[in-house]
Amino acid sequence: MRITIGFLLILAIGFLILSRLDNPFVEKLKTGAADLAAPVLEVLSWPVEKVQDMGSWFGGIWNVNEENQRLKAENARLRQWQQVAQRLDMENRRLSALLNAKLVRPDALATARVVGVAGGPFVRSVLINAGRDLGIAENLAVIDENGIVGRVIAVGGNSARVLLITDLNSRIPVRVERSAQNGILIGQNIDRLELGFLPIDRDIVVGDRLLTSGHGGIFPPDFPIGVVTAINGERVDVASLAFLDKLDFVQILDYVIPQIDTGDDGEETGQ
Amino acid sequence: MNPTRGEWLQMALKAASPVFLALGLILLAMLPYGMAYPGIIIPNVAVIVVYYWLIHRPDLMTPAIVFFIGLILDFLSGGPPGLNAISLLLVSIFVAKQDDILIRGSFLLVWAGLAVTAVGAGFVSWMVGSLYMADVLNVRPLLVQTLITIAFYPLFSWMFGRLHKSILE
Repeated sequence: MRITIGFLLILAIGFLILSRLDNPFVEKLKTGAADLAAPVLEVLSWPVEKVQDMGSWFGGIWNVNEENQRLKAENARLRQWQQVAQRLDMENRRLSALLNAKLVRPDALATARVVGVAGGPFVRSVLINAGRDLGIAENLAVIDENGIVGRVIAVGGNSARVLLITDLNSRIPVRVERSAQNGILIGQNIDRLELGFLPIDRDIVVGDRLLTSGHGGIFPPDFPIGVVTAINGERVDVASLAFLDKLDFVQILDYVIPQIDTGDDGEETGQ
Repeated sequence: MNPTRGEWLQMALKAASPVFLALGLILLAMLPYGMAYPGIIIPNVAVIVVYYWLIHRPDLMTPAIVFFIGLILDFLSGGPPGLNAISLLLVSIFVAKQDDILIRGSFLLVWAGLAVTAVGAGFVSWMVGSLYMADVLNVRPLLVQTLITIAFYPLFSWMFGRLHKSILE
């Protein structure tokens, strides 16, 4: 018994070391397990989704009049913004064409459903029901309707794991929308993120929105990602704009920075 | 008289029921419930399952099964593979050392044992996780999950007790 437990403990430590060394066998086991679990989770989540739908339906009925008034007011306000946005978009396209500027407008590669919140206290990741079958690859950016959710870190045949921006291993180059200063948004494994590496003459206030800067090559530029919620001395707290607690459907962006052709031996090198 | 093939199958399924239960609960714990702090306010079901069956049916919760449950949890959670396997194996050592007291003890004593086990397993996970990531991990989410695990044990214990009586006895 003792020998068995000892052997299994050594085996577990071996798995940890191999994983730390990014061993492909361990990665295959992880993606294989996720591939097997994804369809089961999809089936199991069906009743949960129905209960949630029923809850929202009852909630909606309860304050339908109030909600109707709010939506009417919001609709009127959004119509005005739509006019402004259309005008600015047209102007932007015209000026970009005049300047021959190369704009980055990534298309959505796929829309996937979040089938598993694979986390626990140490990891912030979700499992989606799209993998290589839909052309998903590692390091593609993932968004919801409000902003950046994270990036793909592992891909299986029919599932993929998305590392959320709140994970401790997440470091994203961002820009403060108002002051255009660059910084790095760092996950803390809790719902709050921290903004670091700002310039010495930082210009930031509570309420500032953060956008991806596009530096680093994984996330396309100018996507909303967070809003500054508190400033305590050097520490700048940020809340995610994406609803990370209530993810349902997400979009995977088709954004890969073109590689530079060195022209030496026909091979290409990334940045 | 030797058991028939059907009886063998029935025995095998009964013997594997704690494993199926663990896998089922791990999957249920992973579902997107749309609540705040996903993955944290869900109890650590693996610790609960392993602890309960190690006390009541240790023959069905062998070290190899404990390791398998831990590794599956690691693979599915996307965390460091081996982390939960280590903490659950240490849980099995702890329970094996205390089984005389836990088997004969009152429910409150067993619950207190679970509390010690959950805190210990959490501490081991935190230490191994911190070493793996070469960073001092935030303990707050772990503390919250440990408290929820302790709070939910009576409910799981009652459900497992029903299953134990109806299937395995």
